[in-house]
Amino acid sequence: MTKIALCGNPNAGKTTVFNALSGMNLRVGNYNGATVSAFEKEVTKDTSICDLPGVFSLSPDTPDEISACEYLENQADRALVVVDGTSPENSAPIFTALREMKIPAAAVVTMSDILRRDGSSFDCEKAEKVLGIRVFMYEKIEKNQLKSFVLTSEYSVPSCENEEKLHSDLADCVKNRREAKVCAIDRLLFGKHGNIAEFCLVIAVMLPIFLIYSVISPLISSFLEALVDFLRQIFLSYSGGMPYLLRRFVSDAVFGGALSVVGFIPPVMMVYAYLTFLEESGIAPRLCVCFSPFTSAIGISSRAAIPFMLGFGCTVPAIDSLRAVDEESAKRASYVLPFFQCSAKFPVYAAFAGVFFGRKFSLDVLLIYACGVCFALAFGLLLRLFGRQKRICDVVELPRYRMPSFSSVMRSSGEKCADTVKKIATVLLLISAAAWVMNYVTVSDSKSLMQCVSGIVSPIFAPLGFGNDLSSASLIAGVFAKEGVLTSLSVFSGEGGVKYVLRELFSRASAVSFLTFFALYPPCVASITKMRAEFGGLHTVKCVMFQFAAAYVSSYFVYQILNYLAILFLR
Amino acid sequence: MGYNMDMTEIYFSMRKIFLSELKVGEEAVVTEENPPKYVQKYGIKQGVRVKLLGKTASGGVIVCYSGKYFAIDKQLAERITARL
Repeated sequence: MTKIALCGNPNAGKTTVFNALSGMNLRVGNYNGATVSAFEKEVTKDTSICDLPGVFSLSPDTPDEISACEYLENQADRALVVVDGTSPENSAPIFTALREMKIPAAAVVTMSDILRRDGSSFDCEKAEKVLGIRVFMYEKIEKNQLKSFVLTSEYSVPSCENEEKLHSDLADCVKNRREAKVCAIDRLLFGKHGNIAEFCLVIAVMLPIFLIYSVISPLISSFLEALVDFLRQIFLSYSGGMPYLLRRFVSDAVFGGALSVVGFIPPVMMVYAYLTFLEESGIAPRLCVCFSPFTSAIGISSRAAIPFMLGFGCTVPAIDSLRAVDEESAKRASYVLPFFQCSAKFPVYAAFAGVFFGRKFSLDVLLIYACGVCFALAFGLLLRLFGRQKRICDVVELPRYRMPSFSSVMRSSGEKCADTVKKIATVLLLISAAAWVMNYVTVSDSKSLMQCVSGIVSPIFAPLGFGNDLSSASLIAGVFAKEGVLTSLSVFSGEGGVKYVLRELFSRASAVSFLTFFALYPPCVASITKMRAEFGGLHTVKCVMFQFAAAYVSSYFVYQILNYLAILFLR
Repeated sequence: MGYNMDMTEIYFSMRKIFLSELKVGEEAVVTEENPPKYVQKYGIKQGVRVKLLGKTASGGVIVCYSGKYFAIDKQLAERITARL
């Protein structure tokens, strides 16, 4: 099997070339570190291609760069170097390293659209003479020709010796190079009134997420919930002959569980589409710069701002993207990453806000998300205070702005939507079924199995104001999937509905305390597993313990303060 | 007097400054012999010409090198020397 490695500078378009060659749809992004691990795919019986994370040279210092270099050194038979046509000289260290390793290579030049827009062009013939290998433009050949071109092209070891000379020779391959110009947005961001502009950018970026959750979501949710309820009624009216237990199970566990979360699929899909837009447009790296006072305050690299942003969607890919950050920062960021509220928590917040805060629903949801960021900052500062001090210095590459294609945004959000539906059909259905069985099966003294199990845990939560069996059981369900909290509460409530059970179980103070605990306690099993794979078991245990302690202490203080204030005002 | 002024101009144009001291639009050649590894990997090393395009709110600098823009944070910009 011949292994062809796709290597090159970060953000040069390697994944785009890989997708064109393999017919896959791997995630692309307009920033350094969009690809964080090597991904191999067979394209013919005896050839496979591998998409590698971007590197500037073969002396790596982040986990993603290390994995790329290891693959090139130990596994690759050939290398297809993806060269950014706007700055080909940056690939010089890669060509000299390939020569030293004696790896046969060919090069594909991308970004020809930007060159065309600038009135520049890339001289492939000159590049071939300089490098001594085959060089071709990506956009000059059709996508179906690309595969045969890559597979049949002649690969040879680069002939360049002197890196300095190669650097200037490659720079000369760009004809009519224009001087770099700063676009209007960047002039505002990094100009005289940059502080205000950066603050405005952060607000402008966050606002659509809050709008989706607080304005658009309630409109769509109510429609979908009505639809599921309608289907439930049809089922009940036509299932008279069914065994009673099975009928109750389908009605309470399947329809009841689905009813609690189905309404939140469209907003989650919209948030993912928006996050994809931010990633592909080039706004995400600018956010890193805007968030640098926040990240440097907690002693981590500003590049961690992208994983934090992705955390608003789902914690699992956010942990994955920490690979593009230096190890020290990644480990520290992993402690506070789950405090950025993922989209799976939204149904729970929406249900609680609807019951306890009525009209101010949207503002409360907004407040919860803002509180999550504040908690991340506060606990990050605390970690820095007690942890080892290390000066974090940062360089962030700011790519050109690019308008993402509608199809790529829709494809990405469609995949996430499919994942959410799959989760509802598998994990959440299992949680519903388990909750229903545990609630139905009586063990001893007319106590249900759920009461017996959660009875062991509930005294721990008593000082926080929600030491009852149902809320304890729902928090356990939330460990498997965050939406599980609402699904299990919905199953426990039976025909009364979630609103009824929430009013029965919580006062306002205990509801806020419960939400504080829910917002900060360890993430779902999938995230914990991912964290273990990235940072090892010991660090994961430390993270989980830290997050549990942070949730418990914060929730305790919130409950006590709210009770104190209530007593104060009642006097 | 005129002679002295020219010498002063020459002196100031040749002096070493930190990247953080550059003004927007100014170009400088990096003279720092040992920039940190994470700066070198972007190609910003001794002898390369960078242009300052702007400053960030937190005191960092935006430089252009080889057709690409880089945001360098304040602490780092205060360490890398360059000659105008």
